[in-house]
Amino acid sequence: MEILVADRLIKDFGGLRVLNEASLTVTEGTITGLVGPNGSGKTTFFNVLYGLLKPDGGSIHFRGEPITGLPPYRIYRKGMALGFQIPRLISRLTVLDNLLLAVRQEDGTGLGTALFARRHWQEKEKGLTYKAREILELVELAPLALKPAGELSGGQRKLLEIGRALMADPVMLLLDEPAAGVNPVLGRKIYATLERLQREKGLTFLVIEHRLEMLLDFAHYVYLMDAGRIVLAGKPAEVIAHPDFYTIYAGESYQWLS
Amino acid sequence: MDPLFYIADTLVFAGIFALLTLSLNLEYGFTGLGNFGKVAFFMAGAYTYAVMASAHMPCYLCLIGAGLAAGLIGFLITFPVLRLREDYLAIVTLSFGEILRITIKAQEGIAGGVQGIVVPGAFAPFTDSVRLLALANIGLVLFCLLFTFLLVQLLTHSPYGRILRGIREDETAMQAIGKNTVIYKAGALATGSVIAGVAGGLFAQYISFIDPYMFLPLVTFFVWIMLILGGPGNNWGALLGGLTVELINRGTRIAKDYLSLPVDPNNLQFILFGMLIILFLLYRPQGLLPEGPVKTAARKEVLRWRSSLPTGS
Amino acid sequence: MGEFAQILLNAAITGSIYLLAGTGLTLTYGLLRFPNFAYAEFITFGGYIGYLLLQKPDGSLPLAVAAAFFATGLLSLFSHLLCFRPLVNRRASLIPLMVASIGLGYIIRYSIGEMWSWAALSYQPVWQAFDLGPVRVTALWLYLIGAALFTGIGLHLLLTRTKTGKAIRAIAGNPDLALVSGINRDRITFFTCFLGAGFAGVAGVFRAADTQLSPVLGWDILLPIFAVVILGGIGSFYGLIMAAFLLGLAENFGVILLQAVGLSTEYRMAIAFLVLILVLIFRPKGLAG
Ligand SMILES: Nc1ncnc2c1ncn2[C@@H]1O[C@H](COP(=O)(O)OP(=O)(O)O)[C@@H](O)[C@H]1O
Ligand SMILES: [Mg+2]
Repeated sequence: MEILVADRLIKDFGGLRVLNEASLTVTEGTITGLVGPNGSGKTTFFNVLYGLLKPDGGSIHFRGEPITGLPPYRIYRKGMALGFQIPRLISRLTVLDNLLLAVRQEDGTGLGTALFARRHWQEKEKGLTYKAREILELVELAPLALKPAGELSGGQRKLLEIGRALMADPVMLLLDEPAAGVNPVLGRKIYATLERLQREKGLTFLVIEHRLEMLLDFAHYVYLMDAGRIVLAGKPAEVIAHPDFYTIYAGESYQWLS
Repeated sequence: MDPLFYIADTLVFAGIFALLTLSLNLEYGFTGLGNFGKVAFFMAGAYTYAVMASAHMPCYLCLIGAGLAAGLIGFLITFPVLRLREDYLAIVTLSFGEILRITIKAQEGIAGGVQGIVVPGAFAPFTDSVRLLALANIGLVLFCLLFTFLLVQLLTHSPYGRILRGIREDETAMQAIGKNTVIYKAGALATGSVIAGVAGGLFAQYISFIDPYMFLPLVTFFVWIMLILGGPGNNWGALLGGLTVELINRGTRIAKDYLSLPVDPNNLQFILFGMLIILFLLYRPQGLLPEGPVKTAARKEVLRWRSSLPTGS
Repeated sequence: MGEFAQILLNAAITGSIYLLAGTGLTLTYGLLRFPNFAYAEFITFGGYIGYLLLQKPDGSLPLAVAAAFFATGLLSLFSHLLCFRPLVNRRASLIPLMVASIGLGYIIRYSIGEMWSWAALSYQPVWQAFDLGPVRVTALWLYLIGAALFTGIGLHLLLTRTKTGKAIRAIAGNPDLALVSGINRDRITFFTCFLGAGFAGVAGVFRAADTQLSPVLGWDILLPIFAVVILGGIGSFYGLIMAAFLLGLAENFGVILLQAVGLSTEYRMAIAFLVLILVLIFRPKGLAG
């Protein structure tokens, strides 16, 4: 079953066409990769999918519904969540608060309920801390729960960014280079965790990854992007074996290929 | 002058300004919205109170009316620019502060125009004693202040307040985690304006006569100093800032009346306030009382289980 | 016909003041990315510097203009070095910068009030008046329009023909790009702060000569100046030229309209506010955007 369908998306920045009729389909309950050299338009693709940028053409469907042009907060409410490439945490709030912010509950988040349903949301918050704890243990940040997010290291910020996306109980996550900026061991561990979540909870992932080799063991399907277009698609092993793959990455040194 | 009355008068004014500072704290301190036209919403409240009280409505109704009118105006003026960058909001509110005063000044028919308008006092029918009146006014202002303080305090230590703080730091991130930030910003500004309107109503009631010249941009500037000094994002800081600046201002007026200085103390005061605000922004941007964490049940709960963690820090 | 020409002349006068006053604001706004509210006081300060030279009937206007230009430029440069640059270096965000500019404005305004008193002052020279076709003009107005023309052409040449000018446009258009291409940001910023505030000082001299001098001279016209800067598109000098004269026209026709419907001409300021709000609702990037 397809959960996300992007059809011929176009995005222009000034005169520059950064997305050029890029299409992709994500099957429910899989890990799908979006790979490509730097500047090929991957992050822009995510921004358009998630409503942070308006497309100049094309359409997006999520769980069968059109979501083209919807603001991100509405897309989020439909069950998608995004982890930014550069984490966008609220640095003066604690790690815990950053997670609680992402909860998709409506208790105490309105002017009226914050004041008049105090008991109710206090009770709910207590419960939510257990969920937060679970996620923090998953991303190994539990001891830092009450630290301001601004005091975390780069890798920890990246982990919290993923944790925050999980906190909303999404059915699908878009993660922009989840393993970038953390050490390779932890990077593989992150992917192993994502795979476990996919297997155990049936979550769907669309993951941007600069280095395709990271995805070999984890992704079910990958799209290769170059200059705003999807140029190759298939199983990771097929894509990496395709002759075009070398030409596209030609500008970069890929010692591991030789 | 009766010293007791003087102290009472100081307290009433400090209370009214503390209300304004709390309202700016909600808008700027917590949500990051630069309202540079606070005086307009204060003025809207004062004039609404004046007009309603002149129609013999009871004090509490006039205060509610003052708050609602200011809140409505706050919402209408700011809503069109909430989607834009934050500097546009600053410019629009600043401009609106001027426009409202000019409009009342220019229009004879509206609430006395440039001549001003007499405001019936709420307690005047009951007593002639200046001291008793002052006491009653202190009671009223402190009651409103306490009520507002609790309201803002509860609001800012709740999931709602947590979202406001999030918007202050990264609006896009908040949209990405499902928050319709425009609604939150509008809510904070409308609530802030309601509080400013009530402060205006209290002010009009207390001084019993208002004219457009009382609502100069200076009022806005005072409120900003109070907040920057006291500590943006800390409601106790807002109270502290309000009281401190009001006391300095009183001291200046006493100096003006009783000392002969080579410079005009009033000029000196504003020069010093200007320097103080810049120095604080440079060297102590968190103000006298820095912002604390969001205090909800979740924090307590985590404090509890964290202590049982093997690696607890 | 004569009346129409008179309105056009008035629009040109109003527009010239706005152009001179708004130039620095829009250029520094574009460069530093925050509106410097102290520009109100830069204008006022220029007016008072002009007063030093024009308090006698035989004072020289060109000399006053030059003095106001340099003194105000220096004031702005000092305030940038002492206040805004340290704040920017400490990563102060937009609103603290605006608050600081308001604080700076109060320092300048009350210092002026202390030095020259709060009473309104007048320049002493009497400007020769004569008929030019159907309209009556004074020499002052001609100088003012001349100064605005000079500024417009001069800045056009600066922005298009010189390296510094091109750098100003580059930074205003894309701050990150400028960092990459190795433009010396600090030097460009100092230069723009000086130049822009200099023009604001000149605006103050003309405004004071045309009306009266008081410590709130600049504050009183800050709202229309912001309206013009935003209508023109922040950071756009060419947009500003158009916007200044458009608002000049709108205000001067608006005043006639206000009189016709029996409203006070004090609402003149409301015209600028209306323009500001309409621009923000319908075209927030301004004419240039
Ligand atoms: N806001 C923007 N304005 C102009 N150009 C942009 C913007 N965002 C991205 N680009 C350009 O679009 C291209 C693709 O960028 P991006 O999507 O970040 O690539 P990737 O994530 O694949 O590295 C790059 O050339 C980049 O310079
Ligand atoms: Mg990227």
